[in-house]
Amino acid sequence: MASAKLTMRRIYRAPAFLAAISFIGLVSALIGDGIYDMLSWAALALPLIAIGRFLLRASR
Amino acid sequence: MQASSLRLWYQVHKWTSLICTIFLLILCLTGLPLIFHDELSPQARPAATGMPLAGLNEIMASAKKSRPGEVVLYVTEPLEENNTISVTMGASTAVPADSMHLVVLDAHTAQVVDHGSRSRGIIDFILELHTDLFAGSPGRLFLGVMALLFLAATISGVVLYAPFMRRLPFGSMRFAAARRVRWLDLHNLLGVTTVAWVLVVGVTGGINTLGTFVAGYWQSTELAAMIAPYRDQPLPQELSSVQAAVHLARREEPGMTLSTVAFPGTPFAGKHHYGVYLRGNTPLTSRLLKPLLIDAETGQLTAKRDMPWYVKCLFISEPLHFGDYGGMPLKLLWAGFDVVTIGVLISGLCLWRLRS
Repeated sequence: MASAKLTMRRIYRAPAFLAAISFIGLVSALIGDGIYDMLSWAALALPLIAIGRFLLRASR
Repeated sequence: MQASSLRLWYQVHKWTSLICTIFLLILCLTGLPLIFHDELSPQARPAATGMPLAGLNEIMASAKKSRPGEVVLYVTEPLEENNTISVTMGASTAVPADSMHLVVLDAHTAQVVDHGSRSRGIIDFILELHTDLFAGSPGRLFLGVMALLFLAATISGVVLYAPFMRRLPFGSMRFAAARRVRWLDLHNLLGVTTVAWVLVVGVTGGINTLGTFVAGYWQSTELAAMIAPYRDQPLPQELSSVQAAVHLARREEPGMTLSTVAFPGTPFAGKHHYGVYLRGNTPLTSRLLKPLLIDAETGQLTAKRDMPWYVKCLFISEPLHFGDYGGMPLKLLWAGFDVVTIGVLISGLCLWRLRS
């Protein structure tokens, strides 16, 4: 566990990316229907998929 | 970060979380079925008939026949196109909201599909628990304060994420480690990946707790100014056609459709007018209502104005809190985030118990 210290930028990179994607998803379905809804579903699914993947990996 | 400021953030996170967690758990558990409120509430729905829509005058006559002796307070076209129109009725225009009856009619044939005498279902109780803990306005404000604490807990949690993750790549789950470390990794992963959704739903939930106050403020300032010229006028004797009023409002605002007509005497219309509330046609603008006041005796348009920013904030907060603006897939995602948030709360509680 004695890996090198990570920079702040490095620590928050993935969470910030997921947050930005989530915001896009939350707003997109408000703007329109059809393609905007689909963009929203895909964007908001991403954080949940990430959680699922890490939990699955850890449980193996 | 300095050790002293870290300790401070830790204290903020611990105490704000400890106070609001139990209420947040209630909100998450009751919120889960409420996401599917429309699907769960039993309501007769007529099949699409392909016939032309019935006129509003016909709709009203049919509603009045189904509840003799009562007057029409509001007529509402539902946001979801399900071929129905709702008519809110009561013994008089002064009855409180819980003595009103919602009559649902087929929008094409004007036949009554629900007389409004249905007893409250379990979903209504869950909704009440979720909005005010069965404690009315004080309960609602209390939950608003809990939303503020939750906001502080979320922000301090994001700040505390860095010192814990200094040597760990994103998504690390040390399952071989001690119990407390496992809960910590789970808490960090679940919390930080859902922070955007949690912030939006938390803040809009907090705004929604102010709904009745915002409506009251708007009525006593903006609506009061719109009806002020009529203050000393005699009450209308014979009401003009509601259908004509809606027709006039829609001609005045092309591109908008009817949301609700408030009848003269109700708090959203004043004593001399029909309050015709129109809405736009996109998911966003369909939530933004615009009031037009039609003189209920002459049928003339006498005032219209856009809603002020604080009412618009309230309008936009509703879909962003309920997740009902992007079809069933969005509702399922909402449920997923809700369950993850429960995970954040429970793992946080476990962390605190293992530490103390």
